[in-house]
Amino acid sequence: MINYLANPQRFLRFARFAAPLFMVLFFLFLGYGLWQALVVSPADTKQGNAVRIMYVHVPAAWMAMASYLALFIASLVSFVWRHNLADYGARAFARIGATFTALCLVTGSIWGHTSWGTWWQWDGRMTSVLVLFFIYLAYLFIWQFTDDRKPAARFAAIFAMVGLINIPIIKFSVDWWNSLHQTATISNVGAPGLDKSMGTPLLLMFLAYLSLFAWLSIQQVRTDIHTAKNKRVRTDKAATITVEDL
Amino acid sequence: MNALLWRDLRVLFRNPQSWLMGIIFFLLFLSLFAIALNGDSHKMRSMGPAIIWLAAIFSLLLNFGSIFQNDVNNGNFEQLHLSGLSTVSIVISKICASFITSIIPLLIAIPIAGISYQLTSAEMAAIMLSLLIGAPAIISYGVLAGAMLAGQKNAGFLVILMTLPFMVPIVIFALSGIQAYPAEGLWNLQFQALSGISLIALAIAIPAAAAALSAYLD
Repeated sequence: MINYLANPQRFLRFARFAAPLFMVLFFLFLGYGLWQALVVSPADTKQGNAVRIMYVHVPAAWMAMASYLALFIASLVSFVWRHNLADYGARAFARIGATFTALCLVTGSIWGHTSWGTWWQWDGRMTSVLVLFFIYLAYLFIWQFTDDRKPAARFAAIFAMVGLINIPIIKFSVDWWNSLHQTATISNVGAPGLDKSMGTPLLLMFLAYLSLFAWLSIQQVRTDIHTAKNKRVRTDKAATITVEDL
Repeated sequence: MNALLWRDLRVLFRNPQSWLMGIIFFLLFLSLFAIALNGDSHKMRSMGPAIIWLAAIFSLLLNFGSIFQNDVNNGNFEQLHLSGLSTVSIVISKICASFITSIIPLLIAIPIAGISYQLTSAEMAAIMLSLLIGAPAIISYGVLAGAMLAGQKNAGFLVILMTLPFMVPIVIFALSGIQAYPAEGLWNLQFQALSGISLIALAIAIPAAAAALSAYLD
């Protein structure tokens, strides 16, 4: 599959039907999921309707991590085989992942305000997601600072892999620090032991986010391929000296 | 390899702005902070270790923007490569050289800062020890960022942006280790974890920085 799509031409052919497919899937899952989340699923006994933020927030948190995993795999492929499409893919994944991480932070903060009465707590999970966001930003900056695409791709791939090794260390240390500094006030509000009536919309929203991720990243890679093609066409014209000119 | 380390040390030593700037920044940052706290000795004492650590991290990171820049720009790096040295040994030599040139001045400056922040001698010793244990991690991530930014003009800010996320565990374990030092001594759990992080960082950053430098040879 990856081998097959590694060819830009074949990828473009694949993208021509895959992008709209994922777009349709996204809107289907989103529509059905939102209806399930906002109308069908019950309000929480303690949190009331505020619990519905979960359907936006939790899938965003999952996608923030899943995107980093995708970014890592693409970076590994790019580092080992130096493949252009893997570079485009990695950058697209990072952009989308950073957006999901920001969404996760913002919705988490709003949810925290309604249910715990505070916009922000230096709690283990929140802090590690925040650090993940900064790693995404630093990764994206690497693409910005070099004009030359090849070394930038190398550096970005190296940075993504270093980041992957560091993420568990950061997560572990922040959790440890958190348990040291404050009693666990606020973890596990809605994660385990979820009722089925809440699990279904959560899964649907996750599938919607996943399709959105696929749709946007395919679209982005497609755009990048076309941009690169256009650049290549616009380079120097062939020499047109004829005998008459001399 | 030995000759390379001597050369790196000489270059850093004869070019004092690289490490001198860090120390001046360190002292300036701390005095500005004391001013910002209104010279309140009680607050300064309680925040001292954290602030000194942050100042140390920033002053260390300041050096790395230019660490490979001259070598890459004036062709020394290609010559070293042609002479048969691997990029790994170039990186290791740089890490050792910047460890020596940047840590020694900091170790001298920390007691000065500690006295002005009215820290006890045990706290100062803990800060110096934690810096010695944690510095390999800071320096290896800094060298990694420096290797990626070798071709860049104003790399100073980017180094900080790229390395600070990885400083989270280092700061956490160093500062809690400083707290635990008076009761539990040097080999407390946190310092053990910190030395583990330093070793992991070395293991990651040496091959990664070597790979980044190889990108300049393509």
